Amino acid sequence: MDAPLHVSFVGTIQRVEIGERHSEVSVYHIAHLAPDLTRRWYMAPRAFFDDVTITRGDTTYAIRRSAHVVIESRDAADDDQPARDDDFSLLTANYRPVAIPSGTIDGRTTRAYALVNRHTGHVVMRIWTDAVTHLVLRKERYASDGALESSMHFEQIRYVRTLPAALFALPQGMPIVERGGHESPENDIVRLVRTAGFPVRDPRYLPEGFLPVMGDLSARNGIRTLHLFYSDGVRSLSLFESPGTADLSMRGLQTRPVRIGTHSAVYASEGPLGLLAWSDAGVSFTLIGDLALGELERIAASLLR
Amino acid sequence: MSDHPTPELIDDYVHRALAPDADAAVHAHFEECSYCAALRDDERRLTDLLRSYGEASERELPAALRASILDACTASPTAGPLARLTETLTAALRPLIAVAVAAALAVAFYTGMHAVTVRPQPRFEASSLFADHAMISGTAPFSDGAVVPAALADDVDQ
Repeated sequence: MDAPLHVSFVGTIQRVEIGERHSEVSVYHIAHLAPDLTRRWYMAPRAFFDDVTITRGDTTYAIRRSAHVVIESRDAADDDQPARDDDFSLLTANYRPVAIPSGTIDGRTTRAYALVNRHTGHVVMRIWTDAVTHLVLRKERYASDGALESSMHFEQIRYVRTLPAALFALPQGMPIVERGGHESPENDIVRLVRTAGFPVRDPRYLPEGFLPVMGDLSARNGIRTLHLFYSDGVRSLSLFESPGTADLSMRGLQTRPVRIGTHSAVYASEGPLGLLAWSDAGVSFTLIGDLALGELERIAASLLR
Repeated sequence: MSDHPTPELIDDYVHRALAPDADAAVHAHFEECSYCAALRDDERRLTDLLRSYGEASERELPAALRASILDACTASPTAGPLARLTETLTAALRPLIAVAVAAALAVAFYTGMHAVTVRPQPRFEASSLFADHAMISGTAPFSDGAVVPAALADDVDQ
């Protein structure tokens, strides 16, 4: 997770994720000690209450008290400055920042921008940043039709000089488990495709501005799965491919059948994210992204033989 | 419920034979334990298989047997027609019932062994794919706690 290098702070953040029919709200406290220690602990919803994540550089520890376990995961790309520079280059290539009315958030003067898609003219995001520290204090994401998809804002923010080291220590007596079966995400897409171990398909259509950014290989129930991540700097898309027709459990999701050409597929959504899954010629595909169903269907159709 | 339910308890749950509080506790456990949820799904598949086999095994009585039943109903001078019909039907159906029960037991044995010895088709949880997507997309610009680079701030259209 990106974190400011020179600014330490504590605060409370509220996030809202808006789906097709219902929304989810989460509230968590955040403490960040520059350059790379961050603690988040959840107040809401109840299912996450008292869960904590501690990030140290490129390693995140998710402390699940209910399961009495700490899950460790590492993002190899997180300490890669050239990769982060590429992310912002991609963003500015596809989006034009336009000044909008600012204001104050918890007493901090802000500078506000709208990010306008250069290809479609849609406003995709509004951002309010601290005028002095440039920290993002408020953010709103919009779908292509203008509907609000998600929002985040600091309910309170205080900048500090230092924080106790104990805030970023792991609890004693809890086993630490590595997030299983995943190789760390990497930027070498060509190498990933070459070593996948099965014929990988590339989408012949992507929304304008989308490029492959990174990916990883994982083993799910013993089946090798390639995960390719595409982005235009703001919006994102994941493509999961695996050999065979492994059953995808949609437990907890409301699904509906759709057609991709002559193939049956299933669609579900979680918050602003859509999921489209189908099989074709012995390969299972799943698309996940903050894109409308029509766009997902078009990408899926371009993957068919 | 912190302990895993026994196979017998899972079987009772599938067949709605548990008391309401026990049913709720087992149901809640399935929400947290994918292993036990898979056992529940296997039990449901076996139940559906047996039911569908039973339905497929129902058959019409042969025409000659129907005729002989009717003859028995009309010919006997001593027993009443209903008693004679019952006795005749029972005698006629007894071997069919025995065959059906034996077949069902054979199917249950075979599929039970099949479930134990053959690995079920792997399942991916969609929730894990959402989590993987969130993991990578969290490194994108403007994630929580991110700082807008000065280059972007300078590039703003007024």
